[in-house]
Amino acid sequence: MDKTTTSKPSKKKLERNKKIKESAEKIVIKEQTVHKRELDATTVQRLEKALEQSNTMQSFNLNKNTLKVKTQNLLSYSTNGGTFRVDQSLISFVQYIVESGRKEVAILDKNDIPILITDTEEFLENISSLYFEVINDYYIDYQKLRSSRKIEKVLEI
Amino acid sequence: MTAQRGIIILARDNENFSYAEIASMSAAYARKHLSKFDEICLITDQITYDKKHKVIEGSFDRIIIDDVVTENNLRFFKDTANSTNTGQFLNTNRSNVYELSPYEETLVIDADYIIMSDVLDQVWGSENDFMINYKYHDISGRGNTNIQYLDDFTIPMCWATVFYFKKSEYTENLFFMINHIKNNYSYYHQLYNCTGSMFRNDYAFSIAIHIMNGGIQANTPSLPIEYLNNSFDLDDIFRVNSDNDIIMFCAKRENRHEHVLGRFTNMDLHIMNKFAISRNIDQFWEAVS
Repeated sequence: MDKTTTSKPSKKKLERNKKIKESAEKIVIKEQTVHKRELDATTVQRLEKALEQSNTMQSFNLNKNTLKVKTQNLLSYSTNGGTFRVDQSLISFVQYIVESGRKEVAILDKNDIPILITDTEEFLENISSLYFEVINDYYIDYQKLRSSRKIEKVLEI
Repeated sequence: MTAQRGIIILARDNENFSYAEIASMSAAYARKHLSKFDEICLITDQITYDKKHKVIEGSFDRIIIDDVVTENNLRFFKDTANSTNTGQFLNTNRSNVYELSPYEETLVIDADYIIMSDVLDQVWGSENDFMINYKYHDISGRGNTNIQYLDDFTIPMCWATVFYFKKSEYTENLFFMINHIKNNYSYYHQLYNCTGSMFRNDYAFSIAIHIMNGGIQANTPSLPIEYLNNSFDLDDIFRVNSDNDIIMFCAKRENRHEHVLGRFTNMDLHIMNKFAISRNIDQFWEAVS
């Protein structure tokens, strides 16, 4: 006969089992409390609101990123066979060229090809206008996007 | 005077939808927003032309019939994450465009590329013989905007959705190489560790550019647009507001069955969900006319 099945459990073992049982009960009680809290109406409402906000944030971020990419695509200026990415550093560099009195220079375009600019003042005027126009549109669209809490309003649905 | 600058769209109908109709609509958008070209031309096959000659003739200045052998090039056409169909991808004659183009300077666009800005007008008169984009932007924000590769261990991938070329020795050789890769695709497919089994123009172009550059990473000039705006076939069209304003359902990154709304104004869009375009084709026409 198997001794382990017939022998009585030791006092120590019984006490330990009792302790385990007690702590398990405590855990159950704790879980029940948490469950009760989750079902609390106010919490549910607040969670729903937060999740709604999460959806709005996703739409906001997507549309913000779209505006950024659109701006990058529009900030392109081509002349004499070259294409320039118009940014603050290009404008500053051309401003320096104009101020140093150079009328005609060769500068690198976005593909690193040297392009001859025959009228630097006109070139500066054109890239500056393009920059301010595009960034101003970006500013207006961005303000519209961030000032409205409802994405339906921004998208004019 | 003969036309020097032309926009070319290649389109052949398959069993799922009419590429010719989509191309006609796309041509109308190009005509609306671009002005520095001489002609818009369609390259199609006789069957498509016979079926859709009315809409084709009303939309294009020139039609070129290129009856190529119908290939077996099956691909999946998704209509959001909810539906997938298979059909023939009849776009393998893109590499013939150098021979077929009657223009000195050519801008090739996909039938599903909707031009809503004038940025591509800057290609004409470029110093570069050939321009194509490596960088793209997934409008739903699922992919990132960095250069993607044919495979993790191989070369960067360019997008043959839009490209510009002018007749020159370099471009003639480049297109000869693309044709060669197309004709020996299984070899190059394995050599460059390409994913999927379908013939992709993007892959053939990327491989040809790489070879033409001496087998090292090419510094190919990009188009004036910084990013190609891709709407993948998991997205759908919500509404076409005007000829430069579209609201899209953009599939969420974490759950592709759910969408958020995105508005796209004054920027070109490559809408890959052809079912969505076909469903909304009347809206597109209404907005552009």
